[in-house]
Amino acid sequence: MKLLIVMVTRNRKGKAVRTARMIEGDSFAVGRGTQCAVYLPDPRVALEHATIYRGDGAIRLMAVGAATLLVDGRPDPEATLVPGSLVEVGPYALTVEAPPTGADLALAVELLRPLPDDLAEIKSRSRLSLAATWLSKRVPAWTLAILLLLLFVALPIINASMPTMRAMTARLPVTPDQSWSPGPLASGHEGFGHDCSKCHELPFVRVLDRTCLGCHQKIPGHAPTSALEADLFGGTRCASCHADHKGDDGLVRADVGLCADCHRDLKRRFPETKLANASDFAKAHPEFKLTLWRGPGDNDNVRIAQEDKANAVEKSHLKFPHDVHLKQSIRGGKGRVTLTCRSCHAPDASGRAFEPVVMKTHCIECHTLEFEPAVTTRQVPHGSVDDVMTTMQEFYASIVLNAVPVDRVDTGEIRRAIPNPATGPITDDQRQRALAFAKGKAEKVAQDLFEARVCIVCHEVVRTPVATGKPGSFTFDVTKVHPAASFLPKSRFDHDKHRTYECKECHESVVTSKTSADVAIPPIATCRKCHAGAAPEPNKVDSTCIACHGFHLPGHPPMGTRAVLPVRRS
Amino acid sequence: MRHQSLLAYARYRWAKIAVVVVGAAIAAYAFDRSPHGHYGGSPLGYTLGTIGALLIVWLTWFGVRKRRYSSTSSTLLGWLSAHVYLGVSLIVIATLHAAFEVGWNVHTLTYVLMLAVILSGFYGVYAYLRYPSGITDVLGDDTQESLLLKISDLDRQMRALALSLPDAVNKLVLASAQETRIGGGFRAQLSGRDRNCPTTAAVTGLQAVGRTLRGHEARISQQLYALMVRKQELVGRARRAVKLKARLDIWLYIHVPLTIALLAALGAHIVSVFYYW
Repeated sequence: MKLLIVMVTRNRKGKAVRTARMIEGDSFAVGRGTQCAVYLPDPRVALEHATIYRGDGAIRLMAVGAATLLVDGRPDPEATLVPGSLVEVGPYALTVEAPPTGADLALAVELLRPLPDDLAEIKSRSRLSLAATWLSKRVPAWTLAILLLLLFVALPIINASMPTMRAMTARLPVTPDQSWSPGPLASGHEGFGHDCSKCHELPFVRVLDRTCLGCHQKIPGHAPTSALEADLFGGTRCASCHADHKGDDGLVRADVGLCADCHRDLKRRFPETKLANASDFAKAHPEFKLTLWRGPGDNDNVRIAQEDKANAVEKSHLKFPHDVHLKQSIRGGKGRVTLTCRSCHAPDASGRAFEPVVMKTHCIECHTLEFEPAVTTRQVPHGSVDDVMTTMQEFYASIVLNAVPVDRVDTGEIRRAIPNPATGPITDDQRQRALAFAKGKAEKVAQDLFEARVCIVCHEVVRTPVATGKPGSFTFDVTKVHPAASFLPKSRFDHDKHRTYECKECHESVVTSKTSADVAIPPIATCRKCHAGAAPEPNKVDSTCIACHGFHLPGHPPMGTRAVLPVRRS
Repeated sequence: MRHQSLLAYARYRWAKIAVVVVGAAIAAYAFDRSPHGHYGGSPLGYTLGTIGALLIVWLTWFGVRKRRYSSTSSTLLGWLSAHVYLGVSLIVIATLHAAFEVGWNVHTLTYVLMLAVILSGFYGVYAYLRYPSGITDVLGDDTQESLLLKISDLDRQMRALALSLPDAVNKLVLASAQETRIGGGFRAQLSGRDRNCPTTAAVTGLQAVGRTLRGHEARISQQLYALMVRKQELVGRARRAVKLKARLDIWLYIHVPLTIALLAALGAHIVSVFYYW
């Protein structure tokens, strides 16, 4: 059997170049092995891929072992080689051509699919840097940036300008307004604080005073007149002292500077002031001044330094020696008692201060107002001289007119002159005489009551001439008492907060006080035992000005009036 | 020129500057007596906030500056040194600006993004100090390109040798040449390994097949085996180089996007503060 093998290669222009050789034998091996007659040097071809042999009168090609062939495009282990048939062995195409004379068969062999270039191959498979992977810097950067700007710029601004949007966004776990809030609101502002624009009315404009004053209309100012207020504080904003978004603690400035910026050298800044310079409580606070009533008007007070002992006396027109009342086992209305501070000074509902001491509640059990104690436990009413006189006149008139058998009351002649009502009617004359007696008796007892025995014990009593009566007639006038509600009204003192201490620990001099002129308010040194200034001290409470003082002073014109006033001079 | 680390640049000039900046910020914070205490809106808070914002913008500018090869404003190493130290100082400045307050809001989000950027930067410094020398050690006189060239050259040689050897051998060689990959996805790059590496399989396979061969084939097979082992070594080196390079670069895929996100958040933070002033 003779076979013409035509090796077909392609030149650069793609034109086929044919090299033919004749082989002869019984059968021919086809493969990449060098011993093969049809040598196909490619790794994709088996060492011995197929065999060409003559059988059944035809020339055939058969695959060896597991090798595969593509015969006219179909996998087939065997093929009959007739001119025109095409068998693919690996990347090679074996085309059967019409044999030339002297040959049984012509086989054109062409490498259809050469191996790719190794370097280009490995490069195309390998990714040597992260930049060649799907990782990206640009995509996440832009995505995140746009997302953040949408969520935290666009959404809150749209939310602010579209009320319908607000209803929708309110359901989010963090609303757009909350996402902008720098911190928790003071509890008083929380109710409406979910809407930023309630306080921040205008974009890019700081919170306006008028917004604050819209609710806090009547909050008083610091100065006694609006003009002075404007002069001293014009240009100061509400928010200068009240910063929100700092919780409840932050809403009010607590630093010393709040007050001390001016009060440190107030005398220079404001020469008309009667206040002493003050700054830190521990180092630069003046001694306390007592506010004492001097009358005659209810608010006619003077402020006197505590160390000015000669003038720092109370003139309340009440006689009250604390020492006598605080002795052990004193005689009371129902036997022996020992009084304590609380016997008379009952805390008010808030616990911060005390209920006023009232005669009818606190004094009368011991200090009864009996005017005829030997005969009756009846007492004159407390408070009105006229009522006192009327009560007594009625008492004595009743005795005389009803012929009450009372031995102890000296009724003199009159008793016998007036018949017993049971024995017959009395005449007008007799009645007049009886009433005149009662009046005279009452006046006589009154002198004793007012000036010697009862009223005078606690009160100042003066005789006042009566113009309408007989010459020389008079009545009594009990000077109205004016006990101080507070000796230090310019500070806040919470007794309840100090309840762990005994009264006498601060009010020590009260036990030995012999007169109501003594004022037993502790000096500043007593406070400083526990209260430091702004700087911490061991075992003391840091105390800045607002621990005791407030800026907004009750009774002063409201802050709201500042709005129309000119700003402060430089 | 003596090699200088980015940390020790100019005798720690930027470290010293950063220490001074941080010290000044802490001192100012400690002595600040703002009326309402410490917070972002106090005079000191605004000052620290402004410094912080300018620093963030300037630090971001480094990303632009490092691409300007023609720039003459200091060396890139100097810029990087400043970038690192001033970036670290930003932690203190921003924390004091925020006065240690946090909440579920854009302000804290900005702060957290900033911390994330700086923390990823810490890794960056570590990577820049550690990996370049490793890459040099692995590559030696080679480059990634020359390693691939050598590998493909070996492939060609091995294919030619394998032609006369049994099909099993030939298959191993072909698979190694056609399927070996260097690097790949970011996980493959970072691990520096390929569990199903055809070259490793070829080394093991050639050893097994080689024992069954005799005479001329055995000799060829031995040559082939030696070449395959050499290829395996080259592939390993290339993969290690890719791994180290990936570890050197990976943090930038966090650092850069978060930086841009931080700029957006910073803008939102500033707008929000002054919109509702």
